[in-house]
Amino acid sequence: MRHHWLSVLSVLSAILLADLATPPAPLWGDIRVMHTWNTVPANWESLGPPPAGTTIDLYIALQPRRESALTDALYEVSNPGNQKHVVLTTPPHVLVLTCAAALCQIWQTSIQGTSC
Amino acid sequence: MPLLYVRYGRHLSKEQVAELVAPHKETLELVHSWLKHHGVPSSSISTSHGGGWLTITNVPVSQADELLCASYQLYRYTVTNETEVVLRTVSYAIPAALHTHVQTVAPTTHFASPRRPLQTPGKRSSEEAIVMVNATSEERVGVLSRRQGGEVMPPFLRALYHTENYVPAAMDWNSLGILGLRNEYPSQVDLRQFMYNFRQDALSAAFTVERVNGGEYDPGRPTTEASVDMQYAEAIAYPTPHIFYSTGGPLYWPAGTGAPGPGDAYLEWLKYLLYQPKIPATISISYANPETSLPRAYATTLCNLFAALGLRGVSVLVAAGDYGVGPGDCIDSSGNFRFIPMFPATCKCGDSSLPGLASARNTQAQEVAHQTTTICRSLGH
Repeated sequence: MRHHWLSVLSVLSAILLADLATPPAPLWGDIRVMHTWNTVPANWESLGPPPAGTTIDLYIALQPRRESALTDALYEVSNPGNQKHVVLTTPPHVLVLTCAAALCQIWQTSIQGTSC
Repeated sequence: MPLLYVRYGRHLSKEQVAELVAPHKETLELVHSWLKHHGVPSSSISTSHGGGWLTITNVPVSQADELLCASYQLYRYTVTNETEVVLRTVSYAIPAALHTHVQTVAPTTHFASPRRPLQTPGKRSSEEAIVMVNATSEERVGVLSRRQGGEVMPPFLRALYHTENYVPAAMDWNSLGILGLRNEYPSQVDLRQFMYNFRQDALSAAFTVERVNGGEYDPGRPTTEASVDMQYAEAIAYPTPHIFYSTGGPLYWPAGTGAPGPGDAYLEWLKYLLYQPKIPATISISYANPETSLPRAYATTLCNLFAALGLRGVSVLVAAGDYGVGPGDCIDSSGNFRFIPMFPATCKCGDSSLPGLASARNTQAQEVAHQTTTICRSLGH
């Protein structure tokens, strides 16, 4: 009996794991309109389908990871009034010491060999 | 302790822009899975337009019909006598699962082909120009509004924009690009004659031609509009190097070849440009379409490509049309009465910041176009 339950559990586990490993197949059959005109646009007339064997190059614009990333960056680059602020994580006195050390190094290099 | 993090003026590299527009991994997987489901070979798919687009080459129209639930047909533009025929569909659809991952597919329902506003320069003497430019800005609007029917000469434009005494300071890297579509291109011989007439200190003015997507260049058969673009740009910007982009894929149906002009001319040119490691700092476009003729998603995604150019440090100057807020009777394709702005100048009201310029011919339109911009911004568009 115990073995029976273990078998059932292992089968269920296998099914669950299989579900987790394979994402649900996209429903390619659920088609929705992207864009449509009610009629042929004004000043254009149909000449019918192209000759058999005609090919076309298609371009697909994809959604970026963050939709506003492009325009946010554009405004920051283009508009001096549209800048991000960052918070310093380094204490100010450490920055002062770092700058002082850098200046000292430059000075030391300039006089060549003199100890700071 | 907050500090100002200044990114102003720090334009991005090609790779940095690609990182910004990159789609989510899930988006790529889903779209590739959908294309594979319809038998599109992976060898025909490539990333393009700076990283945010996929290009699929040589798709049989029958397969495109099935993929997009479309009905591609040949359509002829009936207004002119030109044999302008495009391959389009009046609608298209994709699986609901992809709607949050795909912004637009082209060419599909975009019917308008790039056209130019009328652009013949008007007459205006250099003396008149000096009078106008010496006036205050308010007075200048009045002066320009009262004067019509004349030609605009280069001295007028140089005075209007205060470039007479400007000495270019970055000749080693700066350049000016001019977009050419529809097999239109300028003439070097005509350019020299133009300079002889209007700017004799610039007789050595020249331009280079970059042929994009099979764009043609026959110096023996120049077209008026392309020549006007190049001549007026050189008359103002000389000695800055000029590049003319002769861009193919002109939307015409090459009779007897059995193949349509490949792709969409704007998309082909932007794809080429965004692939370049170095792009001219200024680009001029004198083609425009009534915004109402474009599907919204298509227009928005093109605006984003112009925004990418802005991030790369490119200033794009575009036509606002010859008639300010709109030509004709201002009746749109749905029969509604409204002002009909011109694309891509309309990008400035949303995702990008393209300064719209009216043609040199109608200086009154230039003022109205400026007022339109102000209204647009005040409405928060």
